[in-house]
Amino acid sequence: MTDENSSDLALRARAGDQEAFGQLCLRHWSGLVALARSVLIDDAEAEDAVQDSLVHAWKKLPALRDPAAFSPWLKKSLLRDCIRRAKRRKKKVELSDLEIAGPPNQSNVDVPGALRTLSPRQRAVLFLGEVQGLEDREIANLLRLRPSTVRVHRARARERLQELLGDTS
Amino acid sequence: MTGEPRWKRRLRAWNARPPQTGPEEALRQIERRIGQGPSRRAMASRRLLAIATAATASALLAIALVLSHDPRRPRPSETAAQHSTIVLELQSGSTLYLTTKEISR
Repeated sequence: MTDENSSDLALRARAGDQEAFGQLCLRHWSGLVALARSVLIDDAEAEDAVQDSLVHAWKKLPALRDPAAFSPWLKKSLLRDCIRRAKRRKKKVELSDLEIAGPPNQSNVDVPGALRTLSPRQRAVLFLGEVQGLEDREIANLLRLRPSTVRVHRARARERLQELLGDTS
Repeated sequence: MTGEPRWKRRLRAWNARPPQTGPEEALRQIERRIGQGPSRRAMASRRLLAIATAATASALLAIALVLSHDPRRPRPSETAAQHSTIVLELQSGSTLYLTTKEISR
């Protein structure tokens, strides 16, 4: 693989170069799956969603005005699709629905179980902010939300995970 | 330790797992899907749309033909011959419409 940057690859892919698009897929695959998994909490469904988004991206690439914006453009599209899928599935559960022995505490709730108590948007905000280290403004842009809404989602999600997964160092 | 809260470490560890499908295999699958073009369902709906469009066009053409040959709906005089109707402006100021059938009598 060459060391060509993503912007140049996106420019070539936009012009119909399938090889350049393939390199972009290889580069972004793992990161996109991690992003999709954080919203969908299911590995197979996350990979399906990423594949769908990449196929869709190939078809819509000629409409991408700025090739440098390829990555956020792709993430936006993937997040939109993942949130739609997650809402369709309606898997958000309440604490009382968790299949755990006894009252929920830091030792008997796993990460997927804790994430399922959040809304799909809260999960996306949490991943983008806490795992990828994006700022609220960037998250707001990706999710088409106001920064103030992002702050609220983030605070609630952190609070819930601290409660369920442990807040000590 | 890093001083990072426990929940965050657990979240990162859970999300750090590599995808079940490797990037190369994923790329092969994506290329296959791109190469396939539109899905079978999309093709079927396109065919249906084409059939519906053709049927609608035929129906409209049939209606247009019937209307254009209706002597009660004469066309302007310059195109009257094409539509089997002739329009005569009488000196009295009234207009007379004659179909081909009436003229042949």
